[in-house]
Amino acid sequence: MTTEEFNKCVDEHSDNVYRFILKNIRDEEQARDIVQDTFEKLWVKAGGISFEKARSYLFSTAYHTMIDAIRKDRRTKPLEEMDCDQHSYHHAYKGLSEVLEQALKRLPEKQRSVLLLRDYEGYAYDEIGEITGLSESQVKVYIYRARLSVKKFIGSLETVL
Amino acid sequence: MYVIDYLEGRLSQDREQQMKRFLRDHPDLEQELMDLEQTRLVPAAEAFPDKEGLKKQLTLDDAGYSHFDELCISRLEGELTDEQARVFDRLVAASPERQHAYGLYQKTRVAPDRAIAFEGKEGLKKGGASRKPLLRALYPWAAMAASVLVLAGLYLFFPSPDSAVAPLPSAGHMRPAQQVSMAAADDANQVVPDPNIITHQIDYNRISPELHMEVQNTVPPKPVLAEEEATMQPLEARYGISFDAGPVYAGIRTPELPLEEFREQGGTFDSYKKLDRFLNRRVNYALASTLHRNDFSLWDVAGAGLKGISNITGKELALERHYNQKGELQRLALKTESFSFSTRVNK
Repeated sequence: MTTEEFNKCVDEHSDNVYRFILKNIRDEEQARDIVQDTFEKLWVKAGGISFEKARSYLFSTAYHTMIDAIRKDRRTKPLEEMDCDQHSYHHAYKGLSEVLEQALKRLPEKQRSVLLLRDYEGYAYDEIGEITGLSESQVKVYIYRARLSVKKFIGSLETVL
Repeated sequence: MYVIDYLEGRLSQDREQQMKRFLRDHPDLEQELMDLEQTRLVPAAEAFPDKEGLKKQLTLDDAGYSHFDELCISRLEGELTDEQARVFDRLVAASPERQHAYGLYQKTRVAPDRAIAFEGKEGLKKGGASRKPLLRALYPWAAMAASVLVLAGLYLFFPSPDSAVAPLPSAGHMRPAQQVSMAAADDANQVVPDPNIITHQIDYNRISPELHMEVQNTVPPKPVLAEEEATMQPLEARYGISFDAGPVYAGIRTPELPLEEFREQGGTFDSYKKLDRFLNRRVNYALASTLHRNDFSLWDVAGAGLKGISNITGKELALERHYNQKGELQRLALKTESFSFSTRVNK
């Protein structure tokens, strides 16, 4: 991959990778760091990665970096700092997008990631499998469970919408 | 390990032949092996008769509530065929309850928030027209040029075994902890005239625990490993020692086996020498790795250059260094997959 192609990757994919990570960890600073690290890793390996494969490499690297960061956070953060509103339903939602945001927050990491990759990026099951290291059937199951949970959550707040 | 690999058919053809020969020579072991083989469990031939009958097909015939969620998600994910999708849509349209449920599923699609953008985009970009890829492209050639220069230097500085050469910087910078006890024989290729006497190049009993650890952790380059394998494999099969155990087996236990005892087991003087040379080399690698961990010498440059050539040609190259008990460089050897070249470095 040439420098020009690398810079094109920055233009075309950095927003998407950033959104994907931000929606997962909801920490802008950490999301920025992960995107930064991810592109640095791509640059180091630029000689061996073609422009066409770069998008998948970026999502895969960002995903694994994020998982490491989440695990590290879990070890270091005290329990009370972690997602206080995780179990709270007492909130006035302004619209469907906010409800979906809340529903996403409540999903387990893997379900959330596969759903975002599917809906945000339109990846196929096998591509999501490659990015996350899951099998195609696992991806399918996670997407199924994620949609079921999100639907239940939306259903429970229907009167508000 | 060998026995298990043999029984499970995982040995290479050569090794399997060696194992068979070994067993022919040791009929008692062969009998034992046959007994062992009888312990192997063989899966029964019975199979479940109606496997197909157990399988389930997701159909639209009965879109009952137990399957309805699955159908909704399949429809949403585009997994239904056109025909199935049409039937599903009809079923949904016929029931307000189903319309409502499917409507909820349709809302589960999350759309990216385009307002969120990565702000540091410009900072990620790499400046200058293809600056880094150019450097990267030139690196192997630069490495190759460096190694050619170093090899030419080697040739000029060490033209013959008798020419005098200044001591190398690494020898003077040795830390006391790195100094190991080695036998007095400085010349690695010293010819032993009496076939009944072997002079170990290394005093294996006096190797420090640190170096012993280093031996276990240092793996020589591929061409050296290949050469070791070629010379050691016949010995392994014959004397029941395992090359795969690597430095642990090199574990310096074997040379403790006295030559006489080795002979009693049918070993020859030549094979004993090979064994000794192999271990000497492993210790030397470990020593070189310890000595140069904090030093950077001409040889490291040469090594980097050879690595460059290896990267370009895809052929493994290695520069071997042999030290004496004082940590002074004694010999240099260039090893490739097809030939090797060695020269003595005089002090």
